[in-house]
Amino acid sequence: MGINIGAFLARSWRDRQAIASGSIPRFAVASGGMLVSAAILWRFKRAIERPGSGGARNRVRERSSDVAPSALDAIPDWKRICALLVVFLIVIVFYMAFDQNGTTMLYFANDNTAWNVSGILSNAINPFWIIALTFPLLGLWKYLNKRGREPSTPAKMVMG
Amino acid sequence: MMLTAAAFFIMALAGKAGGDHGRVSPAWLIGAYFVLSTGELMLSPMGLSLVSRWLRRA
Repeated sequence: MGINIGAFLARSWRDRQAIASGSIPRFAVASGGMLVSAAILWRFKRAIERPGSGGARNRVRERSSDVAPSALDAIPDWKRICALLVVFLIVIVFYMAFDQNGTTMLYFANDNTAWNVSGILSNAINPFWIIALTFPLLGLWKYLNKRGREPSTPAKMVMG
Repeated sequence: MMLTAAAFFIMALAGKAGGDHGRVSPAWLIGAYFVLSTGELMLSPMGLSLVSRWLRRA
């Protein structure tokens, strides 16, 4: 979600700046922004990882033990690793197609779309939809879950 | 995967409608991105949650 808010802001806003300034100031802005977020992380790192009690790591641990504590522990390591490799493979193939939005889709937006803005603006469409669709989709899963018909995680991945 | 395939099928139709040099409505792109983003939302977070669930707790 945060990724996409950032991507949406940067991509819709940069288009207007791009005409005025060269690439050096633009890269400098990106670099400076990273330093700002590193400073924020440094400042608030205690809130994220508190040693001992209540840190993020402990919360994850509690949640994953809620799901299926004994059943998951019983599965041997090599089986888990194989399962993870399958997931990685799926994700690799997905992103091979998905990341065409930076190339093929961008060329199409520039050369074959009837609008009077730069095609770069089309890169803001994807994060816009992510922001717009996250909560409706969560609502849908919740609704289906209440009726006992929420699809399993692999089923969702196949659909996606 | 299905939705991603559908999204690029929409783009193929858009390319067919416009030909090599024609220009088509931006609604094609916005529609294709709608389907593509729905697909991303059903794959990317699911993968992340699977990985964190399957990792052995240290």
